[in-house]
Amino acid sequence: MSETSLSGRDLIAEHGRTRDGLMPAEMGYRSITDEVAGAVFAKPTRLWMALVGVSFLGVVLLFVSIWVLLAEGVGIWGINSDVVWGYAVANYVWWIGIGNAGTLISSMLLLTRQKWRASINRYAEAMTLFAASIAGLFPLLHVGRPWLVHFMTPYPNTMDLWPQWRSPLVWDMFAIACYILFSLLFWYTGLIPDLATLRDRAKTRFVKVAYGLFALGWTGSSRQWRAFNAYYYAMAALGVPLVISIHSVVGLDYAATLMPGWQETIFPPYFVVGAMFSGFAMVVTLTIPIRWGLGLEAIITRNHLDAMAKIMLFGGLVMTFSYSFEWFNAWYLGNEVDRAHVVAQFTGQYWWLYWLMLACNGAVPQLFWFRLCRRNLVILFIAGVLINLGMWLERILINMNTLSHGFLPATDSSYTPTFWDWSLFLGSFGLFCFLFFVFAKVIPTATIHEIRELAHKEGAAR
Amino acid sequence: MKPRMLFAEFSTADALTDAVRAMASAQKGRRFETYTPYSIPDLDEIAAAQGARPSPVRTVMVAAAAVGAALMFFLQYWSSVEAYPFNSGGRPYNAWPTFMLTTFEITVLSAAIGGFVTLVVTGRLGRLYNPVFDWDGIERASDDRFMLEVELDPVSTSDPVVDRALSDLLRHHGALTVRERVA
Repeated sequence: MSETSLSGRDLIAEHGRTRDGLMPAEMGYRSITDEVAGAVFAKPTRLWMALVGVSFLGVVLLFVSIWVLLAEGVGIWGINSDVVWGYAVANYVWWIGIGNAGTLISSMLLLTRQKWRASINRYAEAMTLFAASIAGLFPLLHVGRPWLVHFMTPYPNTMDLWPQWRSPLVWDMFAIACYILFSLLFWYTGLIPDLATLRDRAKTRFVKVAYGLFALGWTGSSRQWRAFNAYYYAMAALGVPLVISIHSVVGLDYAATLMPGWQETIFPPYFVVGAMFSGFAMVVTLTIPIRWGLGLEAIITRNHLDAMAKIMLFGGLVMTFSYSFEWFNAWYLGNEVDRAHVVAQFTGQYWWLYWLMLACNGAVPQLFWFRLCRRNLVILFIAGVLINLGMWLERILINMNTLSHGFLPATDSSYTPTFWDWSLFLGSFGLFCFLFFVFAKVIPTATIHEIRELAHKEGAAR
Repeated sequence: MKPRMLFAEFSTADALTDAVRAMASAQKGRRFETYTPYSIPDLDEIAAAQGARPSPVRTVMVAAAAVGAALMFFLQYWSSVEAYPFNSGGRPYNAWPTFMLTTFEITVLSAAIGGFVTLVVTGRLGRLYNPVFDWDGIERASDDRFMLEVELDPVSTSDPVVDRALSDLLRHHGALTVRERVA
């Protein structure tokens, strides 16, 4: 049983690719398993150890920042009596946007039977899970006294208090909590058959038992596959409206207020598209190092990246349209405060950030009109990072522009981030990277059972 | 008397599907189960033709969703109309349109949890040991082999000719090995 199989790269060299370029023209089931599961069982490389080490420093930074915050209070941030929503809220919106994309990508691609889904859905979902959990951390810290957070939940208490159900902030809490649990179930269910593969290939008893526990005794019987498919497709179908509702609720946190630049009906859909846009950019940014680092070039191909680049182009166009719609609306409605808000966006104290955001979110995706740019890894990676930067600036500016420029001149103020604002953001990034690197080493980064199915349909395996 | 089990191993999905189809038409009413590295819709069709019921997962999901929605709406209605009426700018206590968002989230979550529990129960997940794991080579059912397990009659009541015909049929359709044991 110790037949050695050729790697994906060798198979492509020998047989070429299938007609749509998604995998080698000949790739047996064993080669697929080796290609994906092999990356899990391979000895950790020095590079991987270094990356885990560096990102762990970020985790330490995060915990120090939280510790200081809990000891000192939210006064250590740059927020003040006018700009009451600062980095914490912006980071929350940014992370949950990234967190929305994974489930959306995975569900929509499954429901529309996109063949290229199997290679990217697993880590897109992992990205969702980590990003959504990190996002959930920020509102907790933002409220200042996280140990009283149970006040927001409905439970019989001696004070006879109940949540204010008419408040978007209560909707928000329910949306995030439900979403994290939902994503966890969706991701874990898709993982069960692959965990069984790892259980069956583990060399040592400890590893076998560890994977075996999580594989729940999966046998691959037709009875299990029937139940699995019924559940998994139903979850995908539920996932799409759920994701749309989540980020719409985040948009409503803003839109339900009376502030200029926030009270806009376009906010919920515009937030949803923004989430998809930044999420795809994040997936591309993660895909390029993953396929290189784990040697998965045979199953995550340039055609995958090409398809994602087209979606980023679409997202960029919708975002540009949304920005123009905001400007048009301010002019068309004739409200002086709204008009002054738009002028302040372009010429006010954060003008250069606004222009930079427009460049990142509006101009950079235009590169993807060209096939050359959609297939060039360096361009794709840089564009992915820039789009993420642009989307983060958008979230920051939504808070800072509106709150520093209200209805009365007396409320004009500014927001200057402090060290602890930055450290919390960088720390959250460190935690995300740390979780992701550990995930990439412990769990198959691609959905093995779906790739087998694809190989059978494409004629690469019998 | 314990039944005996027959275990056949195939190297391709198509061979397994052909063999199962041939067996289902030649020897009607045999109890069998397949173990495959990915889901094969053709096998589901054969099982359905033999009277296998579709998975109850989605029915349970719909029921769980309905219960979750009703409970969540009731919680909001009761707490804002009965338990803690709070007059906010003269807006109605039963502000049902604003109750819909949380109701929706809980509906989806209830369906997800209900479906997962059904998947675990009907798929018999959570039992880490399964007698099928005793067959040599079963670990390749999660990799590159396609397995078929058929229930044979106990030795005392079985017809050797029928058993023989079955294993010949499986071999004819490309079974690499055919083995037998007492369950």
